Amino acid sequence: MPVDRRTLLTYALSGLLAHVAPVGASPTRIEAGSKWLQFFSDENGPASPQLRGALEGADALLLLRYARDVAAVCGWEESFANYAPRLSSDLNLKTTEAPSYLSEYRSAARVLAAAYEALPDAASTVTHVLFADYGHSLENTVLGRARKYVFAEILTHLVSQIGFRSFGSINYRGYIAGPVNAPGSFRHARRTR
Amino acid sequence: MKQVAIIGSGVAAVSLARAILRRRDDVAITLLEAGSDFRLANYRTWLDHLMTKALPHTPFMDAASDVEADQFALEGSRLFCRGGTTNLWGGIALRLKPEDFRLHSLTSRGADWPIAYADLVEWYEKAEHALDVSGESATADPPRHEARYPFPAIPFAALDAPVMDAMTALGIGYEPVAIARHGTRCMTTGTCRYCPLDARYAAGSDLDRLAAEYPQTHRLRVLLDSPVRKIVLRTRKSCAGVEYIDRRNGSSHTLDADTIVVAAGTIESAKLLLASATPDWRNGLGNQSDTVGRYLMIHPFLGVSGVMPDNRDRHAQELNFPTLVSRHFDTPVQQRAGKLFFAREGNQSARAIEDDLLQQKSPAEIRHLIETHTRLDLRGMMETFGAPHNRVAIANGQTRFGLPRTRIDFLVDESSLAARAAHEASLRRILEKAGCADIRVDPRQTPRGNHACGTCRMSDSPADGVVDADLRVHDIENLYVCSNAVFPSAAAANPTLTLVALAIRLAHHLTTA
Repeated sequence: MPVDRRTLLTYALSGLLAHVAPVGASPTRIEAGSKWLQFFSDENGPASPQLRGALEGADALLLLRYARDVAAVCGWEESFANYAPRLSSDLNLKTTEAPSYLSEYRSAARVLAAAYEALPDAASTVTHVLFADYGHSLENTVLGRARKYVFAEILTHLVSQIGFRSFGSINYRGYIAGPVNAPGSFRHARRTR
Repeated sequence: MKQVAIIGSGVAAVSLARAILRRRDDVAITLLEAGSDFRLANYRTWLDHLMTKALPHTPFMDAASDVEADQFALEGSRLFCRGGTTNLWGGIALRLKPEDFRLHSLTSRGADWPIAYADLVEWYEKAEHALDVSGESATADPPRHEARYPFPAIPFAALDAPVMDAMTALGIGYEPVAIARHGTRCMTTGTCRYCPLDARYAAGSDLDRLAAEYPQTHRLRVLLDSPVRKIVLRTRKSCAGVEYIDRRNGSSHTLDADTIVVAAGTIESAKLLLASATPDWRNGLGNQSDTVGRYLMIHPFLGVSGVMPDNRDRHAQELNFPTLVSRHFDTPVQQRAGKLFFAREGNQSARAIEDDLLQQKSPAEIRHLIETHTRLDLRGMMETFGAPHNRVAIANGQTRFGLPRTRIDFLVDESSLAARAAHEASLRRILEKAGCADIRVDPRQTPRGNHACGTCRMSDSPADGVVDADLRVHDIENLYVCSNAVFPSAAAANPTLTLVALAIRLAHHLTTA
């Protein structure tokens, strides 16, 4: 599947990657792209939720690489090293306990592998797997499911643990900042009653 | 061993059961819950809630098809599962005020309670401890008689500051929230609806603690998936037990009991009394005056929001609960039109950075939006008054929890619309004073069942109510209702703290009678 003009426009418009997107780069062919548009599952929730087990090492590394690249693109790379073990552990929990995400993670890892191979750099890969427009609905397809159950969820995890700080907050939905009455768990008003 | 059957496993049932078991060792309690098992503080469940934003409670909510109503919604307002609706509640824990117990005497509207604020003071304090409430003890309205909350008040958040300044300038009082957050367990996770640390009171977790305290099954039993279909009478004035279904296999059972307490919430408690009609009680138990199911009251929710004039410090909603509340419009002056309780509550408009990124906004663009488009929200709930035509009844068919479907007739009265507009104008003035732009009033919602009350109201006489001051169904010696259903008026306060106070008081009555 070629990266068409619309996809390139997405790169150019993508604020997420505005400073690194390969605007004007030559179209790149992603050979595996056509497979991404095939039907994957219409389950409401992760596909094959009963299939449990640890994600294969290479696949786990691809998901971590995706998270690291999103962090790098957003300017959160300094915090990523300390955060990565937490993400690994949480992703492992999501494949080893029900409802298992193992099928979704394996499928998403194949998307990432193909994208990393075909696209010139991390930023364009992240942009492509998150935003590339294929001109029709991706619901229930390999790519659509990967976006919903894997790429968006990992992004949410990433923001909640490290990303939010770069926007000025000291606490955020999902971050465990400390005791409610301790200074530093959230920003207090300077005045009292 | 005396047998007590409690129908329901929510906060009223658990509080009542604990208080009885602690006072008497010759009592055995069975809780019958129509819903299924549900566990809190599970890390994996929390992780899914964090990453997907979906609520794990959804399978236990009403379906739209469970209710016949033109203008009323129950979906999301209650849960059918072990521990009931406090598995999801926000946790605001307010006492009613003395005038709330004398509504009719003071305003000629609604009904008086057959008890006074003074009768509940001792039980309110116990309820605040049972619910692990954090709050400001040094408040005088309502009078606390030196009672201290178990945990100190949570500090005001930075986003409260402009609202505090505006309220001070307008002479409008405010205070820290009183809320069921365990002061040492709460780690500000921002995911209070499913707390991974069990820091927001939830009756499901409380039931775990109670079961650990009373592991002997002959003292405490919890029957899940067991909808009670009928209360069985021995004589016109005495109950023998309950009939229930085991939903797992469809079998019917009878449970004999010396005392029966219906603690099944405002809707189901009334329906069960109606469903238990006998030749002696043709219209349902306790329903000689056709009051069961009537006088349904709710709290209409209202809200006003505006854009902060300047947020260069990038303050944001960092907690998942409000820290600043006001009872300024919850006084005898507002009682005739309908009181208001409100809070600065920003969860609904909190910026979700991950969603911004997924909508292809750049980090720089998001920072700019936080500085220039952060919204301040004031959200409240107002008092409404009971009317006989607002009622709950039984509809044909069954829900997936094995309970009869519900029919609700509900009309919003015109005077409450006028009071609502006045309250919205007051909230708008605060945001204008805070310098906000783009001030918007929330559209009026379909009435919801979140704080429903009144369908089995307390009264001195069976002529105008269902239960007496001890929550005993009029003219039936061993049948009680312990639910928001017994409230004769709704006031402008979340009902849960008062419900728990009534439950502990009922335990005292049952164990000393």
